[in-house]
Amino acid sequence: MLINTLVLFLRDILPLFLLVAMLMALSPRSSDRWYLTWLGKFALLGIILGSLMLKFVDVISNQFDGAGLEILVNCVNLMNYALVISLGWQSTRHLSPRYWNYLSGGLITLMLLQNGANFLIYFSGYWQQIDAPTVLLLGTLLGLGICMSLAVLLFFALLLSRQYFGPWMIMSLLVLFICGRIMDGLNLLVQVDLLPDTGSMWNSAKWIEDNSGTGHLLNALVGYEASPSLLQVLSYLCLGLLALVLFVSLKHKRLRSADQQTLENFL
Amino acid sequence: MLRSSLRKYWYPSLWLVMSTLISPLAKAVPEFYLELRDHLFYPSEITIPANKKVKLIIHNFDTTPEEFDSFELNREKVIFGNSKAYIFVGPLPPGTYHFFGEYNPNTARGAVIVVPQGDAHAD
Repeated sequence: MLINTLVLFLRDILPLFLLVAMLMALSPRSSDRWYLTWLGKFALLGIILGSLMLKFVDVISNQFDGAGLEILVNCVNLMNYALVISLGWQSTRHLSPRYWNYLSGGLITLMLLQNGANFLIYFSGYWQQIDAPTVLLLGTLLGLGICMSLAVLLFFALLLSRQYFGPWMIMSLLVLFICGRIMDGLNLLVQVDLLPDTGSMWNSAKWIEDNSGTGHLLNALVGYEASPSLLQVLSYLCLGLLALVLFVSLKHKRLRSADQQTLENFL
Repeated sequence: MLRSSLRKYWYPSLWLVMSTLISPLAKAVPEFYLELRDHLFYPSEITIPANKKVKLIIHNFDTTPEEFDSFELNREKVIFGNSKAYIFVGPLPPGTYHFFGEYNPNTARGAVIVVPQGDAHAD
């Protein structure tokens, strides 16, 4: 049960820690106090919403002929994608940090609502079993330690990359991260027959298995799957390219308008 | 007036549209049944026809939740205690596809065996 708790914690909570690391590296501010206030506020909101979701999760799951949870997860994923696009747009405009606060906080809250509730289903379901509380808490603590270590490593690697390449490398990773979540979500719609099963395009399990440590980490970071379907690959590529094209065009538009303004001032 | 009608009927309308979309598809495929008792799948092996979509209905008789998971089938679904859930599987080529209960992976294990059409029978 200890290993199982650890594996489930890594599967559900690691993406959340990686998201926080990416957002912190992208943040316009860098004071420790501000990080804590920003994170604390939205983490608390996410935990409250996640607990509420846990209370109604079986009701939600039974909606739409048993496809309620799958539909909800996909709606949340699309909202997250819209928030990432808005973050990219905000980065090109250098708008007030308050907007950045709300957009990034919204992302954390929605991810906590979705992934946190997933882990809480397991945690609360097995809490009342004999000897379970000690093992569940120990597994959670170990999982927290691993997630924090990986998030800190990613945070410093991204800070270093920001010095050389600017915020665009982090934005691109954030886009791949969200596309990975969407790709996972689409699979849920296939399993309740709301989307057609297009069969798997390839199988890379002999190099990296889905249930290996590397598989879990890559899945959390960029949505790796050993045998993705055509629909998943197409959606990943299309949504990823769409976001990158939008960011590049917004950046060029801003540069053009800045050039025009300089020229007007000169004349 | 219009706004209050929309507010009143949006959820039943959405439910109706989604159910209409889902129901005909759900009824057109053969159904296979799995049960979960004491964190064990019964039957632990289920035979389905190749190249055909099937509906797998899983009934969890335990009081604790379980997550049906299969990397080979690309499926994961939480089944709450004392309740039922379904997933669609296939069309698949012949072979053995393992599944397990994510919350009790040591005990809750099984496999979907896909055989050429005619060799499979509904349980």
